[in-house]
Amino acid sequence: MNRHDLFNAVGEISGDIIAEAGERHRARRVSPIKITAIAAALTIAFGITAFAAVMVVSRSSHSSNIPDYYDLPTAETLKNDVGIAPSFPEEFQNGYRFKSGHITYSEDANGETVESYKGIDCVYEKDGDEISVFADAAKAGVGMDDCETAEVYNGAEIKYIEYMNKLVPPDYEMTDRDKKDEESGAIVFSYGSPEVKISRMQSIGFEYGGLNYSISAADSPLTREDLVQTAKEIIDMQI
Amino acid sequence: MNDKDIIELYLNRDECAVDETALKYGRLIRSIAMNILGSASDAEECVNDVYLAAWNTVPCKKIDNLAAFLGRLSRNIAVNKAEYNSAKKRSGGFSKTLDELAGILPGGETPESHCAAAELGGYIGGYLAGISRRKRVVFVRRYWYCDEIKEIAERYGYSESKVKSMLMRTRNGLKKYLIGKGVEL
Repeated sequence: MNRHDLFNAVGEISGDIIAEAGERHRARRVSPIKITAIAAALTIAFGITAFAAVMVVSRSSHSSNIPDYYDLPTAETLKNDVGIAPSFPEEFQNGYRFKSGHITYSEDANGETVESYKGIDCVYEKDGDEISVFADAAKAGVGMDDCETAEVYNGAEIKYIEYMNKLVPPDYEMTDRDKKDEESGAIVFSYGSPEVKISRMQSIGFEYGGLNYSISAADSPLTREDLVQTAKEIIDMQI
Repeated sequence: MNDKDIIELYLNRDECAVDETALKYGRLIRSIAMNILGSASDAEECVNDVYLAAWNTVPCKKIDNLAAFLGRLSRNIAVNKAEYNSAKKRSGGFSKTLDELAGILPGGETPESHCAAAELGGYIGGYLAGISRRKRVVFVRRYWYCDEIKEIAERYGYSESKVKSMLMRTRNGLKKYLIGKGVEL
């Protein structure tokens, strides 16, 4: 046995392990944003982390760095690949255009049972600013029942939350100030960023046609009304 | 385009298969080749060889994970090229990666290989499955994707010394695991 044989043997490890290491280290994409938004809302409201219809203790999500779609996927394509069939616009009225689509893999756990499901995370971009539009069919719902209702549109309650998010490296150690900020709900912490970055997060969530949708933006020039409008456009596309 | 559709193009011998592969996985293939060869021109040659190899082999294989399949092709082709370059004294950073791995061999290098690559790969996969995700992805980024230590540190937000230390512990753990399993190295 020599070094090359060993190197070749490492090359034979399973595709799942290789794919796991190829996953993007996401910090801004919608799922963590969605989770932290939910966590923030509920922590603020009740001091606990839980979800609406089904109690969920933890939710984890991941997707690949490499987009699954460079062109807008059709509802039929998503039905085949993800198991849900939402429709998304090529471009929103505010000029944000589809940039890439990523299939996400999530797990919700409540201590006794685990629900695994796929979702679709579409990134839209305009002048360098990106927003994420996400859909899944998690039984736990969009999990923003206790957030403020911005508007009711075609029977869907469009929820909105805005908060400060601190992205930190995986091994970041919280300072006393961080602990106080987290406890008070002033700042939500998310892990997985190579550097510490504080962002103003905005998140919209709604349930429509049996699917959960969320739209998230970080340090975006978009207003709450702009984001609600994108939600309405998505709802219109499902009718 | 999703992987299933790309594979379908290969099966139908549609040359768009190569274009779609390049669009979706060109960066991954090039990055692995570049990490091993350390030369843009060699990496480009390797990328073209990968497309040709994919064209020739996809129809004959059952592919569960197209990214891993293409990455493996890139890795194998780049390694062959690196060995050729090494003989010609033109090797890139790849030799450092090999030096690190050599520490796993208990008795140093021996002329005979006692364990087939696929079998040993199975044992290595078994060990990796049992360690933490953080350690596993760092190991795979270094020894499968052949990323530089610096790149791994930036990717996961660790210091370079932390990455080196994680890799050393994982290599030591792997060595013990293989010895414990009675694998003849």
